[in-house]
Amino acid sequence: MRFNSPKIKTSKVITIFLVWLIVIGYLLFVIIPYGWLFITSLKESSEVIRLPLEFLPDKLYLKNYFEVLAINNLNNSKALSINISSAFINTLIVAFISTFIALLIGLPASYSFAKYKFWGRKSLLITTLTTRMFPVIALAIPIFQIILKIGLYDNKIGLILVYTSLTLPFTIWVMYSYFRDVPTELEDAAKIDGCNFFKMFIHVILPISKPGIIATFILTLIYPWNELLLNSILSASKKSQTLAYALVQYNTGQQIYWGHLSAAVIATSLPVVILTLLLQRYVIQGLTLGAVKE
Amino acid sequence: MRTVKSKLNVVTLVFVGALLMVTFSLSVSGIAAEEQVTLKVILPANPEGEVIKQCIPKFEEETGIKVDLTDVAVEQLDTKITVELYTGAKTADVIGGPYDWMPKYSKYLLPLDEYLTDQDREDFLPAALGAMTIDDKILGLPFAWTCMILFYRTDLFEEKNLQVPKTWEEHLAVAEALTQKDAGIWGTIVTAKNTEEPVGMLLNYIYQNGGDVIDDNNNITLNSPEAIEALQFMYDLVYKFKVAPPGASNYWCIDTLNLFNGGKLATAPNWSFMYGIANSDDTGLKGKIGMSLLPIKKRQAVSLGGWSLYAPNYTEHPKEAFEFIHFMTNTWAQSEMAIRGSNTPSRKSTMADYPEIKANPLFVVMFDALSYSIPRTKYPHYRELQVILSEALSGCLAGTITPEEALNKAASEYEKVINEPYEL
Amino acid sequence: MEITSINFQKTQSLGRKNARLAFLLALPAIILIALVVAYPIGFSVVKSFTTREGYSLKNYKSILSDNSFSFTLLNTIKFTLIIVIIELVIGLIVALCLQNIKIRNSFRALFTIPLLVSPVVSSYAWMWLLNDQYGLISHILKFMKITPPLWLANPNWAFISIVIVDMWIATPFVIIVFQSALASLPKSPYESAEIDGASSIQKFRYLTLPFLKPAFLVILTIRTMDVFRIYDSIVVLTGGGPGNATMSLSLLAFRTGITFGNLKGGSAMSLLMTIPLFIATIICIRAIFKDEI
Repeated sequence: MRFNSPKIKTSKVITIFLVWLIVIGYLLFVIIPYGWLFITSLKESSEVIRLPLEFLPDKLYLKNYFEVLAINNLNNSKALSINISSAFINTLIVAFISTFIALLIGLPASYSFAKYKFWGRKSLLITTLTTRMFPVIALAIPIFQIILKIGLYDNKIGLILVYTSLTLPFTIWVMYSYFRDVPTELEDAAKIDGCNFFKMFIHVILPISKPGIIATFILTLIYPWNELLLNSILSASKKSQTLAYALVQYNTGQQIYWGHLSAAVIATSLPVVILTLLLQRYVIQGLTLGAVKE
Repeated sequence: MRTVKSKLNVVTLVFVGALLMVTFSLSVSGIAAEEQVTLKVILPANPEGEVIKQCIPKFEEETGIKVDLTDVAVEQLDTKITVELYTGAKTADVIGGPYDWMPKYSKYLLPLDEYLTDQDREDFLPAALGAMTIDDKILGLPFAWTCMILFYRTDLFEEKNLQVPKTWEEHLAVAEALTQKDAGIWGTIVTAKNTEEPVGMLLNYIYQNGGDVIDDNNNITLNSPEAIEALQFMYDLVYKFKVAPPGASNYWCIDTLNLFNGGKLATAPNWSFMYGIANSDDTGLKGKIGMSLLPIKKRQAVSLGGWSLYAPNYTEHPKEAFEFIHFMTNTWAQSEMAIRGSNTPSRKSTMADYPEIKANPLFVVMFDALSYSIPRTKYPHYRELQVILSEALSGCLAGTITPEEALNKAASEYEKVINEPYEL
Repeated sequence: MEITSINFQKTQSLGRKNARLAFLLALPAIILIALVVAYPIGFSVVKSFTTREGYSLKNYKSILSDNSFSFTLLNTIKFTLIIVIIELVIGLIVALCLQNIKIRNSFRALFTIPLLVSPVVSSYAWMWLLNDQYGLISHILKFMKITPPLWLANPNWAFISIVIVDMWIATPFVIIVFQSALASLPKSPYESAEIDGASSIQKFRYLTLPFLKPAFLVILTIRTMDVFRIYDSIVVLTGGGPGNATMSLSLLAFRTGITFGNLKGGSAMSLLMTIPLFIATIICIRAIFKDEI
């Protein structure tokens, strides 16, 4: 047993090397475009188009950030008066509330699909999935008419309603796979302990499924965060315009304001990334607690 | 008995009084509501729309009409307008969009003829107003109109003692003289991205060679020898003579702007907006930019581009909508558009009242060029034509099909579209 | 070496018959989806059969007789197969590698960056990166003495560019799903397998892969549905070109419906898109994942 044959050692070293190579390689692939956006945000517009390409900016040009985050920069003729701050706030509100409601309604539904037999279970599950097979443009017009009729045009509540309904199938489907892996013995044990369904669900099932729930939360959140088409149709003013819609306005058909676009993207995504990095300590706790099964 | 009766009388009196008051206040507020009209306006989020936005306070002050503005990103504009008009949603009373989209929407647009005075009609340049006329009805008013002209670097021309090219051959010679492969400088540029805008360049080359999309007898002449020659010339500029950068099938006007501003183009055919952006201090090209009409082969003609304001015919405030449209295209507004947005005015009065506009070197060239412009609204189903042509253009410039094949295919597709139209 | 997977069978069994409770749990979701999504789908379907003269298959006939539809359908299928397979493989590999690294959660935070940027905006950024004159990628390749291809101007490279961009945008999704599934792997089967002397490959094949089956199902279905409807990145990067090298069905449906204003045709095309997707999903689920559903 104390036989440390060199063959085994090198294969382990190679594996570790390969693993790190793959991870770092993928990390570079992800970071390079984002890093380039970051660097572009620190450049003046004339620097952006300078050839031959210079990677680093001449100086730390922070004006893009100021212009992007200022509420009303009508005085600046270069960047348009695009209201990124209100769009960002709208996005935060709409995305988080939609996700919470989707999880609130979707988690029990998903668990029910995963664990219980009832009439029409399979067909209902597949039907909810088919809503994601349609191109959004086909659904956009009738959704627009519905929202107009109930008076929620240009309203964050209307957006929340639409986004929640559209991500529910996704939420249910993703959590379905995690709930399938939850052993039924847990439920039996809880029943024996005298728990009713909700107690069991909240105190036993949810903690076990934490990794899945966190993953589903993140993945459900990004849909309203990034959605463009429905937002452009359902909103008319900064009351309900979200981030993607505001960012796309930097392409004016004559110029693309790269400096401002990059600054806006970085300003609205970097804080989230940093926050996740800082909070990941708590995320680890959640993940490891949930992962202990037996 | 008496007390009950009197009580009843009092109650009745109070009731009737209250009813009268409510009716009165409702009618008063109704009148007040009638006075305060709010117009919902959709504008593109581009510099032209921005100028209109900045004119809105003055409009609100002068007319007392309030404006609720919706800024739409240029790439979402088509969707927004189509959805609005098709569903009759009444979320917009005035729409600003490219003028060549008007024929597609013509069924839903408010004819403005009855609101326009004769004086106004006279004041607009005939070419501009003509482009707004569809089926003999004026459906919108232009707030920006433009066409392609040739921009060139006066300093590079002076160095090599070159004259401004007037013909294709001269342009080719100049481009060859000024292309420096190692410095990355190109003589000219060809744009052929599979999107709306580069079709303008293709149409220009076809026109300049004496061709057209349809002839006077309504035959499709997309695949006439002139048109094929024109497309072949565009192809040769990139691949045979190598005076234009090779990524042509993915370039559009933004690339032309960037490359020119970066000093990598000696000449550049582009829309008029480029002048204001290029001729500034931070590009380092101030004062080094010359402009002229595009070089031609057989005839002088350019495709007209531009933006106009129009109103849906189901709007509840047609008069106010017209007031807005008229205000934003009046003499003063057009001067704002010219000064702030580098957009050529389409009113004679603007040119007369603002001598600095008339003298601006950009507008001197533009007035000349625009007199040769051919509007796109004269072609049936222009949106379909645009898509067909952009696919043909980008396919040819990528080398997948020859110019002849591309235009033959385009002609047959266009014929199919004309013969089997569908309604909006 | 027989490694039984009985443990996994148990976790996926459906023992209960509490139909009423189950139905009630699912009801709010079903109602919401039915209200907001079912009507639009029905509207679209009805519209696709509407013509000026009444109800008929005219819209469908005119689409199917068009050459561009069959070509675009094939192109879209090509996109879907290539992109989904690449994303699945790379996502799985990266997720597995992450399992063996201790600071995986900070990496995971970095890997979610593409998710935080709208696909449209990412496409703009990539359009700039892949530009042959200004692009950073071309610049780096030139620096390494490799002649860069014309990423977006050449038809074949344009196709590849779309694949790369979609990979950038969507592989994090695959990684997150796999990673969370891997994080909830029970430890004891592995411990007993270790005691039995199983190699890592055997452990992977008989323990990990079956356990990841539900995650596979989710990723395969969702990504197939999403890639089949690919639209944003194509519109920004190439507009469907050069020629029609990167045309997709969503783009064609948008063109027909919005650009040309033929909303009935657009609805018909959307339905024509949905049907093959639906059939493919059902077959896939029945064939591979029949015990998962």
